[in-house]
Amino acid sequence: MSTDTRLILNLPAQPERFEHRERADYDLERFDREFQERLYSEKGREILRAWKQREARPANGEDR
Amino acid sequence: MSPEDLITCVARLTGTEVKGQDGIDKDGLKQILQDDSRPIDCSQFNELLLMVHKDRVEAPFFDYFFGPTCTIGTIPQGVERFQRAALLLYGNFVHGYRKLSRMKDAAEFKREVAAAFPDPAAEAAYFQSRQAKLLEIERIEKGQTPFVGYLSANEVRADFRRCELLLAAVETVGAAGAWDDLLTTVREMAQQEEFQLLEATIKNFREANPRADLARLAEFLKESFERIEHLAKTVDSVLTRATRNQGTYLTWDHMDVYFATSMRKAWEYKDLYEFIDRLMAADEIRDLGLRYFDPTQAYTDNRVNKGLVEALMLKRARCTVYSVQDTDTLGKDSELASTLAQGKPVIAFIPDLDVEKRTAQLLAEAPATILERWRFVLYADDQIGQRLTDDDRKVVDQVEDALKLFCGRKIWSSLRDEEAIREFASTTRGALESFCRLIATAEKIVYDKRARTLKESHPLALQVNLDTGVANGVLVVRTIPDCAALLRRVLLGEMEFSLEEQAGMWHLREKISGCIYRVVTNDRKLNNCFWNFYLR
Repeated sequence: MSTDTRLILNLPAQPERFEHRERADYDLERFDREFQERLYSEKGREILRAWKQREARPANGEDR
Repeated sequence: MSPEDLITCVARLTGTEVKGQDGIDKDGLKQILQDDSRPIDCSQFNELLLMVHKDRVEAPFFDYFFGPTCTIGTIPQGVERFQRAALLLYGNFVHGYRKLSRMKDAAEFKREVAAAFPDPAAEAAYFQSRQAKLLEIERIEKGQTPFVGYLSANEVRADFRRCELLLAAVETVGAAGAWDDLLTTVREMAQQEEFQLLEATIKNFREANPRADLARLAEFLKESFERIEHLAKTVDSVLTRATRNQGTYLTWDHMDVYFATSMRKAWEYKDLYEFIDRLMAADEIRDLGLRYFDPTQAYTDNRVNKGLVEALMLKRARCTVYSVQDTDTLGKDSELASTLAQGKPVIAFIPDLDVEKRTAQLLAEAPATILERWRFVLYADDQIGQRLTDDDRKVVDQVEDALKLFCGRKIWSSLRDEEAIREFASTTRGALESFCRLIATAEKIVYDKRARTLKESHPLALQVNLDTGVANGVLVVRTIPDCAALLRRVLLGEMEFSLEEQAGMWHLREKISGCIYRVVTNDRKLNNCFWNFYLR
């Protein structure tokens, strides 16, 4: 592609990320909730819960 | 002074032509005016006015503008002094003359003109003698100011959650698992919209670490998770401080300067921080102990409250410093307009870039920032394509591709990989420097053009005080010392002006900025219609 075409198109290297979108508020917690809803499938949430439980166990001393 | 000179002076003083010139005793006038050194007092000045069919003035008017040492020869200076006051106070000579010339009470007269000619020493003493504020803001350092904005803060949270998902996935698959198993698990865990980015993250890791297995990835993700978690805690701490700072700003009993800006990208926060820091530490204003609202230090999560806080600051501050950045935005342009509409001064700062210094600054930036700056100049400088030589185009092709590749391979957008940045800079050294110089040159052209537009051609660089109808012009400065010197003059009421008549239109031009601050138009119809809606 010629430089001129590239200058005009200014093609982005990556698709737009959710976190770069204009938002109606500046509430970080709300963003976090919305992002997690967007990020995880139902199955993903289950896997995450299970992983978090496994991670928490040694700290709680349950496996000792 | 000739009778014609006096007629011109009186027309300027009263804002209207001298009518019925056939009935004026020009021989009598010639006799009176022949000696420029002849002293003239108020009653004699009134006799001159009546001789040219104009209304007489009361003593406070004459004493203030013409003074006890007035002579025939100094009448033009007195007229000019009145014109400056009328421009500053009323934006209108006719109304100014009618109002001020009829005031009999000297104290009332002084109060009226004090707004145009305050006492700078008294103003300085006011600032210097103010008590210290009870509550100081808790400074957020330059490098952390981008977290006050939602873009950088959200980037950290998003990276944190993506890293958490990948870590859960890789540990669920197990260290002995295959890459395909991992991709299958990630696909199961993630929604379609986000899978592509997660897949790209894994791909980028594998490209950077060709021999790595899932155990190495797990190790990398744990390390990243800790770093991003630490960053997320920093964001939380910055937002807590910035929220508290917002409350502190609201309670200050004085607010002198508002900084109008729009910030989104990280460099915009850092640039504004640096500008405010250098401006407020300048020798010209340091002794005044000014209080100012610094948007890089304040945060409100609710956009409505944010708008209300800023509106209050605009109402309270004595003036606004408008930082002209890359683009005009509704936010800061509204702030500029709101300040002018209140009749307060706006100082617009547009940096006068030194291309070599700016090139060096750009070279120190992360590749993602350089790429963003390139995109900005492509958007803002419509002549850039015309200026590029064949060699420039080769540089653009080479460096733009390299930057995109580097950015595309970045694993976490919120973490800065110093080693990778150094390596990128060393492999692209000469071409990168040429590329940064192209950006710096284009930035200079864009900023110079914006300064010219605001200074010389934009109709809304002059707006109107909605209470009084007085036109109020934006004052454009290009350096921090000029900005500081002008800010001092604005706050102490010691701005200096030149009075100019161009094609019958009167301008009051501020001397540091060279900008028009007040005007009186010579368009008779516009004048009549305009002032019918303000002065009746």
